[in-house]
Amino acid sequence: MSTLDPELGNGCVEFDEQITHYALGEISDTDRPRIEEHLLSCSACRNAFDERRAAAAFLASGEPVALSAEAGAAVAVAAAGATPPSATPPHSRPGWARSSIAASILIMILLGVLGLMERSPFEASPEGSGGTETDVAKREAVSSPPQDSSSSAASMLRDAKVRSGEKSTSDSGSISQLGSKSSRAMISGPSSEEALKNLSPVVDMPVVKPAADPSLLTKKVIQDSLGTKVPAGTELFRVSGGASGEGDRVQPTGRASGSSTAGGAGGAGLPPVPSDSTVAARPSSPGAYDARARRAPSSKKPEALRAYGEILADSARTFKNRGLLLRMSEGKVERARRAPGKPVLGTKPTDGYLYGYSDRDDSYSRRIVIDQIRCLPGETPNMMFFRFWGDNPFLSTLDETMSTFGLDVDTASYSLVRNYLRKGHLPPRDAIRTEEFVNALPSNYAAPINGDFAIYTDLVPSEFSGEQNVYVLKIGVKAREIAANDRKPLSLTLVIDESGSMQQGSRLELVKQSISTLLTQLKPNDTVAIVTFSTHASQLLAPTPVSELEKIAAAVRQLKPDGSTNLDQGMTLGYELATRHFRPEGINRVLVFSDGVANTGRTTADAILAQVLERRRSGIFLNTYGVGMGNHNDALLEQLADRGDGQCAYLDDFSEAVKLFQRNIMSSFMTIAKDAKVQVAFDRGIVRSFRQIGYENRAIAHQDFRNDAVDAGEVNAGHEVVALYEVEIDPHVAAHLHGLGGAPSAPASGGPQPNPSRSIGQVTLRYRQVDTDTVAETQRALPSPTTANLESSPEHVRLSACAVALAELLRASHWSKATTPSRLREVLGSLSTGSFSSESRELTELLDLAMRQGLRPVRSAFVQTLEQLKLNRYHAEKVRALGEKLGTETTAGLQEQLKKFEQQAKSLEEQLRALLEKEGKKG
Amino acid sequence: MSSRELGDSPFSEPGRNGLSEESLSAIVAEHQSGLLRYARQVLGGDASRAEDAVQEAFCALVRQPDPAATLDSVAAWLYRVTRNRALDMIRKESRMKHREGQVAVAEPIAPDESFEIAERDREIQRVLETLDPSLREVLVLKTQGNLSYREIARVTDTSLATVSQLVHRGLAAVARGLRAADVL
Repeated sequence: MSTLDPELGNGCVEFDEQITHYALGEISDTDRPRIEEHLLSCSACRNAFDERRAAAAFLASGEPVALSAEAGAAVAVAAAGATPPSATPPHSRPGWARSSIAASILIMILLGVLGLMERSPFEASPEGSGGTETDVAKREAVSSPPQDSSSSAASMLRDAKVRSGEKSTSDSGSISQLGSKSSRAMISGPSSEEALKNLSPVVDMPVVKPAADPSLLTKKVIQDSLGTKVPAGTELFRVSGGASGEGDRVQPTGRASGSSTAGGAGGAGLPPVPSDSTVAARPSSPGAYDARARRAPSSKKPEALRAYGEILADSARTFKNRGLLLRMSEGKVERARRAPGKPVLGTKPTDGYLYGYSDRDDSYSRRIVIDQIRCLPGETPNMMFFRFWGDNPFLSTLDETMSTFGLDVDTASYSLVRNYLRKGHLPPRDAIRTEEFVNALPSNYAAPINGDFAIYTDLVPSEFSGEQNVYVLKIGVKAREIAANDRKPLSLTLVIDESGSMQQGSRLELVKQSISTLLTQLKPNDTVAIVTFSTHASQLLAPTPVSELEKIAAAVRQLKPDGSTNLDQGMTLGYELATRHFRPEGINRVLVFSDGVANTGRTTADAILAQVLERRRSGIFLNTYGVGMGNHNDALLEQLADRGDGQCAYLDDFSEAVKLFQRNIMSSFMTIAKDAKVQVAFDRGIVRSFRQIGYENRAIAHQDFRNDAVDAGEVNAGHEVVALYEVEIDPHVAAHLHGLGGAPSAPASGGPQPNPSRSIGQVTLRYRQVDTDTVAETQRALPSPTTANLESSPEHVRLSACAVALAELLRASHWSKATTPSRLREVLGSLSTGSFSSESRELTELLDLAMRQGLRPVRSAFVQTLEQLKLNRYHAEKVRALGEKLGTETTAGLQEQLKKFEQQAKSLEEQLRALLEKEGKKG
Repeated sequence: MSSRELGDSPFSEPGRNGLSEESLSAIVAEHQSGLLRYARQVLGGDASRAEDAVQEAFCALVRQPDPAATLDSVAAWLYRVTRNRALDMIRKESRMKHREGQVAVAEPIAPDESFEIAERDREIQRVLETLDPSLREVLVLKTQGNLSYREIARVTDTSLATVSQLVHRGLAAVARGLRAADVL
């Protein structure tokens, strides 16, 4: 068959194949100049090149898959040289204790497998010939002389044990048993023993996670939280089919298929979706909703549980450098990416951004990325920093003394990331919004007695920056609380996604659970209306007072997943209903529950909101709830909430629903301030530079701080909102503070006399009171630096610092370089007994999970050199900018310095090219 | 292979024979996705058997007594082992007829049961399924496995020239298919 692209001209036949190779970065050095020259002159071939390149990117962009936890554990066990499971002290690796049986089975299976796998496939005859069982057996038999296999197995295990410094205990029996059982497999000869001796036991590799028992956990949560509060006899939801009598039975969480090996089939490694068991475990509802809800999640293929967000992120990664690749002809792939009706790959304009550059990127884009590491026309050093690393840079107070931003009360990122990690994935970088990590954790601030807000400030030396004189500044805002009795009646319009995708992982069941929880907290004069949407939207329930609870519950019972996702129509109808039944005396809110993958009607936040805002009446607030890991379109729901006067939360399991709808119902629904903005002004006499942690997309122009037309964050009753900075204190002040420098000497720039007891600046909060619709401002001075260390600082500051450290580690932030997981774990450990013990435990768990997923992969020489080049360029630009600022008298010295930078950059570039060339030769 | 280049091999660290913990984590993290997807292609979409094959490949790597046997490319080695395991599975279950040197995929890849896999991904999958299995295999190795032509040649036991031709035919066909489907 002719492979020639019909669109190619006749003269291009000879280039046809080369175009493919060029698009794949597989062109030889001899062919390259010719094809490049040709591409420059021939648009048909450029199109072909673009298409193939895009096709290759599309092929590569599918969902990433990972081994299940069991399979990972199997590899870990193999790597650890079969450390006897029971010998590990439970405190160091609690997972082992419970999974010892599983582990020994794994070892046996593995040893069996290893016998088969002993030979290098390259040495083996092509597998096509002779892979029958007998052949395999024969191969094994000849590969090494038989020996006392059981003793060699035992000695191997003992070796492993001795190496890992563990006491030999009474499990020798099980060792020999193990050995003899696997004797056939152990005829692997001395060579493998040799190799095993050289292997150190793996510590941080994935180990078998104790068979998660969410059923028990969630059951407890429910009993704790609901058991007493659901009025006796109130069965919000009744059995809908013949499933009665099974109410309290919890579906075993084991694998349904009982598949062939520990590697496990569909879903084996994924912890069961807790909502399944919660559905069945409701104490007061014998039978739960529907037999379907009780289906074990393990019957799903793992890919069904994979996040759509992950796919998007992966695609975005794939396309990240595409901007660079399109130099020769632009737009084609871009059009493919943004074509109407086609999913948008990246939601952010990451093209040309260089962070997250990995070894996986192909050699072609690597070649080009080198040229991108320089200052672009019109780019300031700070802009360049963001393009290189995607983090806020340290800003010198010489250039900038203020920081202005809208408060972000969202917490979705934290629970989303938690869900990623618990399901065995590292979250994509864009899913990690550091400020939401901090806000998801409590600070236990006292509510203000007078006024709407109390502002708290803390300044402690930074533990994780790795720099001296750097402090963490924590600014906390606590909104006044409203007693449950004082609250106005609620008028809630629930907009519920009933599309087919909501069936996955029992998302819709989780929504039903959440609503039932919410209903228990409502008062008789509150009203609830329900709009559902799938392919079309419809009104399921007109506004109904909660006094008619059974009517509402009956409507909720009817929810059934089916069809596509017309979020647009659902929201429009929801707002229409809310507007029509607006209660001026009450709190009017639209609550959207969706997995966020709008695929019918308008599918972007802007388009949906444009539609909605037209019909909406002011005074209607919006809450969006992302449901289910699978394809939660985080960005869409966040943007909707952001622009629709509301907030976004992520429901990963029932306990999160309890938190949102039961414990924090006031802070979910009672807005006390709109457009809350914060401005921090630093004193340049004491602060040299600062960086804001997180809030990358919430910055507001300084001059807009008092422009009340600018939309910013909404704050609800009882909310705690936190903003964190790292500030670099003038070293003279710091020296004085530590009693090293004696009297403070004046700084070189002739600024004000440093005074360590002076406040480092001031913070102003500006907001619009919802009740009175007036704008108010409140101010507070920032603290002065002290010598206190992190250990002696308040627990809530330590917790925030740890949350930041974890988020930045996960983001692979430029600023996480000095953060070591072990130190982080230590600081978290110091919190394990205080009032934040459960939070610190959870952060530790997340850190451990992330470590197992390969947080901080080993970086290649190429990527490391690339980082050096980025740093070089950034520092050079800063020097250049400084030179421009200071004027001509210093230029000579600066020129000299810049020359040095340039020389270093040149040599780095050469190194990079040499590395590529070496690679090219090898490939 | 007489001239071995150990450039990227995790075993090549001086004074070290075994596979370090970090290297292993890094290798698993880097290759698991590509290997699993590849194994699924070979095994007609069977995710569970694909995982078995990949797991065995990693275990084999861990137990590989002679580091040099992985030659210069751990990736190629892993893909090769995975392929062999997958072909063994196919053979053992006599589920499909198998011709020498070619991966037979008898049934189309099971369509993903999830509802929301985007239209685009379905198109790609559809186009991929229309390809000759030999084209599909090299294309998957190239784009998802990120292997070089030379590594692919080693994995599939063919010549470099054959690989480059197969890849070209495959990619050109996919590009055509995607254009016809209005994805490109």
